[in-house]
Amino acid sequence: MIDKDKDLISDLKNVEKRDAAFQLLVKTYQQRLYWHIRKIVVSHDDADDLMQNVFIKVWKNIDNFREDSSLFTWLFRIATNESLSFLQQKKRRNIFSIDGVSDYLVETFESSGHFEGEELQKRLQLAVLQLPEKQRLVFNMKYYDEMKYEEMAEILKTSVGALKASYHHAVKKIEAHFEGE
Amino acid sequence: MIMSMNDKTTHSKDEPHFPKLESGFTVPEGYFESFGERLNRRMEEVPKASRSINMLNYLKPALGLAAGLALLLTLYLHPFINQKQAVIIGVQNTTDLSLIEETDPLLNTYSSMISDGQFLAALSEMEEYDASKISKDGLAEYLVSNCSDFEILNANK
Repeated sequence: MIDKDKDLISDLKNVEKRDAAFQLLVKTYQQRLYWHIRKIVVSHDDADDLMQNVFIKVWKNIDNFREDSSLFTWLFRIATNESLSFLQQKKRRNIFSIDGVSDYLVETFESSGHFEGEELQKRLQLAVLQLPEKQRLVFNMKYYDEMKYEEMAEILKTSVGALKASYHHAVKKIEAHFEGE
Repeated sequence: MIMSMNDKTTHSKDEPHFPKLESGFTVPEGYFESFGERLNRRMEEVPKASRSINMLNYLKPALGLAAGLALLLTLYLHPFINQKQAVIIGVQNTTDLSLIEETDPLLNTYSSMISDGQFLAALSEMEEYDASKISKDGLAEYLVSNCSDFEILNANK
């Protein structure tokens, strides 16, 4: 674990230093967490809401953080779980059918704004949104965030081999999507 | 900028055959600068919300107990309420109330439970009837049509 994070965790667990340490934590990780969440849920408003939930959970549970993973991994795991739970809740509320997550995300992408990409970026995003949930998650983390497989394995609690396979399938599907256009 | 999808010669097995691109997503201006402040505002609301939920949780057992007591009281008093009604019916169909009160100690108890208003109402109703003109069949018909079995049984105790 990075020494800076160790100090930060120590300060977060210290009642007297907690407030200042939390402000520093938010400042340090907000952008990376936001883009991670945003690529999962697509809508800016939902991403904003979920990021606030993530930090509130961190604030409430910091004393339970066992430090057997890095602070970065812990934060990303909470953010990933929150985002996927959000999509699951949407499913349960029948906002879209079980097979329709992609349709919902494409619709959100088309309507929610806050996208200023060029045509190819838009085409790529639309292709990514057609992927199954796990492949989409792995593709985003590897292709856009350039995360190492080992980090991803810790966050998603899965094997490097499984992640490589998911990424490979995702890339093939996106290429096939482009070729079929 | 757009790379051909068929150009596979320069890529390894895992690398995509399309260029590295940014997502294209954007945020409103000043979003990250103001995020911490908005988060703080929301966090200030969290303890308040949880406090109100806790208050409700504290009240739940008391409310449950009160509801339970109310139910028990209703069940306990229900026969007496019916008995009161039965006594009133009995009064309406009796010619000499004082005689009944002397001979029926239970009626004395019932009488003490009937409010003055109810008793006077029963008396005034009684005056409208000429008991000597009420036949046994008429009385039986009245009881069947106006009283429940439970009331009749209680009245016959």
